[in-house]
Amino acid sequence: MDGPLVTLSALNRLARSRALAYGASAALLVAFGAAGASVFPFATGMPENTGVYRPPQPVTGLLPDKGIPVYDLLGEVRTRRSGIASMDEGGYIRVARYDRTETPADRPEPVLLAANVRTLWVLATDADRAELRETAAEFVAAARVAIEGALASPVFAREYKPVLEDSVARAFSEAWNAPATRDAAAAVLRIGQPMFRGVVADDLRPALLERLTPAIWEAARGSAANLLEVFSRGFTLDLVPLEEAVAGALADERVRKGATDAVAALAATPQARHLAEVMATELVHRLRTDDLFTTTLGNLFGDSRFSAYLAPVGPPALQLARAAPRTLARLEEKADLNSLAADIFKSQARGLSGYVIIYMTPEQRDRIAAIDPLAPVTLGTVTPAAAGGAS
Amino acid sequence: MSAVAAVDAPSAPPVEPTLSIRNLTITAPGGAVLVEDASFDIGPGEIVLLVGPSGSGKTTIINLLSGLPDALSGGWKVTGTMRCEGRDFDLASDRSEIGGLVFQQNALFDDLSTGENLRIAADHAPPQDTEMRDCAVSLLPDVGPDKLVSSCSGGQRQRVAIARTLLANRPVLFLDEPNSGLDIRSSRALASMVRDICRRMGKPAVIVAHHVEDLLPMADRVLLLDTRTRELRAVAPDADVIQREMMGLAPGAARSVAEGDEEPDGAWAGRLPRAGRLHWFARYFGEYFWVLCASPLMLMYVALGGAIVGFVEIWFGFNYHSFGGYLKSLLHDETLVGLGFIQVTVAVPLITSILVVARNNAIIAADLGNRVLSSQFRAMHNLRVPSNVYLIGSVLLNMVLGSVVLMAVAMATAGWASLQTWHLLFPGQASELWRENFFRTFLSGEAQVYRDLMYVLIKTVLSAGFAGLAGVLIGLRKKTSVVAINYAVAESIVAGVSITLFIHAAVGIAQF
Repeated sequence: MDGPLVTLSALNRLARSRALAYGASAALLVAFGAAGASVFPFATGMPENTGVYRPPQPVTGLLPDKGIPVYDLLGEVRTRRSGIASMDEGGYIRVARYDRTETPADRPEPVLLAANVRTLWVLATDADRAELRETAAEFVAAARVAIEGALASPVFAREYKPVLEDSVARAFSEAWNAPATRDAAAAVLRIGQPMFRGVVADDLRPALLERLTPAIWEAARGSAANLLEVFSRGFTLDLVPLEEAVAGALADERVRKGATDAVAALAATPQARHLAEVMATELVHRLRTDDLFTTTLGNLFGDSRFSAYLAPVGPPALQLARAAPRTLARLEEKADLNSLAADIFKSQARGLSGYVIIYMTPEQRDRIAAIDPLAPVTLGTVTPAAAGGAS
Repeated sequence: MSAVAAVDAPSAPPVEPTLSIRNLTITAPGGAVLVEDASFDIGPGEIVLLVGPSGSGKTTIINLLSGLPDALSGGWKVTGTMRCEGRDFDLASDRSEIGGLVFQQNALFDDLSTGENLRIAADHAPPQDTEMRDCAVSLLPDVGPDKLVSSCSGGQRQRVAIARTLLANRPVLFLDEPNSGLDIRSSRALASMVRDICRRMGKPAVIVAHHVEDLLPMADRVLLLDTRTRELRAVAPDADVIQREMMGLAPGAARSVAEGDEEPDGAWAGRLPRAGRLHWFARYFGEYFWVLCASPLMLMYVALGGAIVGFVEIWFGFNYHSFGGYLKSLLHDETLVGLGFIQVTVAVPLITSILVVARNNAIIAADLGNRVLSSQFRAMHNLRVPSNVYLIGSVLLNMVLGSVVLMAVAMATAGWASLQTWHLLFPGQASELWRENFFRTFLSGEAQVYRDLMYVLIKTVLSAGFAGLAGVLIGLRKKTSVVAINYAVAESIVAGVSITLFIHAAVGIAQF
């Protein structure tokens, strides 16, 4: 019976001991200090350069001293943020890996990829890509039907089309008189005969106006569909209808009357193509800044009378909205962090063009190259001495 | 109407008196006259008993002659003159400080050992000769210098208090009811001891007492404070005479105290070394540093607070935002940047300041309140110990310095808990990713960062300083009971936390 009592008594004395308390405080301070040192960057220091690389050829949009996120590709599709890099003025890319290794032994290939959705696309599994392609196709088909139905509806023809066409005509007039258009037209004139001056001024302008108005609609419809095919081909403004409109205007009977067969040759020149592009750009710019046009478009999209046309788009749109984040960004309720998807989405949302570096195996690089041969750019290792004393 | 102390011829002080009082009149704040036009002399080594009914003003007289700061405050009016060791004092305006006072409840500094109680008195007094130090130590044959005041018996405390007052080396000793609470044997031993001290040191002593039987044998004279005539008059040193005189005035009371019988004879040898004010400031500073800042309980308390803030911020910041887990990845980096900034500049400073102030203000109010209630501040003043510097200075300095130290502790544990919580939510991710984003604002090195951190320091220091000051002021207010200390503790917490919230809000507005 004495044993426990003696122990308790000893513990009691120990607990009241000031020396013990001093020791406890010192130990606690050391422990808390160590906890702080393990956390704060001023104590641990951020990783310094662990490797220096150089792209095999100059890369468009890769700017000096701009942070390039670095990732490791784990397994087939999963990435983990593993460092930060930047390109110096000399074009050398200096990587600072979190694990302080120069190159991870199991992922020896540093690959430079553009920070856009396409990178997520090439990193996705074949099954994911197939699913997304199928879902997107369903949506595009539904959207195309809906848009065509809406544009052909009596409501649109009666209430919206006249206003929109007026806006387009006004925008065209302003675009035609814009300095850039005048310069482009002047370039066309310079390569033509002086006799064409009257033709271009008197005949070409009304012929262009007639054809460009419907061509704008055609281009808009084509581009709207294209927008949804970003995952497979990438987005481009569909200028074909505009180019055809310019070619058609140049071949118009009225123009022909005052011109010769040389007009046809003129229509095929780069200057004529440039004129079409400038006109289209100026036109779109003016439409975007036209309050009446944008308000009318807003009303159009909010008009419940079109809901019947747009209703079939809902389910495939929802399906696509669910499938895209899940398959490309792997965003799920319980999912782990996907820094790569986050960085890419943020970069796209901000309209920034950037790059990421992903360390992977040669097999993984080859798989990406098989999907998009131009996407991966394998970085070449450079010795610090060659890079000018990189650490 | 004047009452003049009659000085009997046989016991008249020989040669030059040590203390001469002339025309002393004391009027209470309500206008009642306690003593009027009293004059008396006390010679070297003489012992005078001052008797009278309870509440008659005996303690007031010795407080006045001891120069206590509150003797002339609160509406009391005093006139008369005093001459002591060749120095003249106008009692209406001068603070005499000629008397070393042994307080009724001893007023020992219970945070110091018995040895330190003696040393602090000696170190703030005019230099004493060896005989005086030997004499003081000789009063404590059964008390070791390392003994805690709390473990001393009533008699031992009384003797420690007398020894401490003796080492203050004042011309006159005043003892306020020194035999209160002592049994007959202890009381007589005390009387004999005082007699011996006065003879050996040649210092006169004035003893206020209700129970005079045990003290009479060693008293040279007895002065009675007559509440009817307001005279201070001499009576014969005879118990029956005094009893008869007192019967018409007022009663008294007593209780017994068991003496301890420890024996560290010789334990005091060389245990009263001299030390400067810096030593004593460091002594009090260290004590308060320990209590207010560095004790294990305080460190764990603040560390736990920081850890909880760190956990809550990350856990709820990522788990309970509007979009559930779907946007966790997209919002991750910016969420971490925001949480890191808020944690460092707002959350941890505020929570830590509140925790520190709430606890420490309670301690400050209780500590100072107890010192007020037990007359320790008055004793310090009587011993010329600068309580404002040692106690108040140490408390405020520790509040300010401690708040910075404790803030660092809370920051460390908050950061650590944030990182661990983040690892729970995002297993497998590198700590550097968290660090890169959580501290992104502070890693930028921009001037704004230093400005933000300066604001953190400002609100931490200001809230601790002003809250501590509130605690000090509340603690120093007059206390008449333990209940008053309890109220002061609650008041101090409320005032301190309110001040802290206000300062953090005001600085936050200025900062953002």
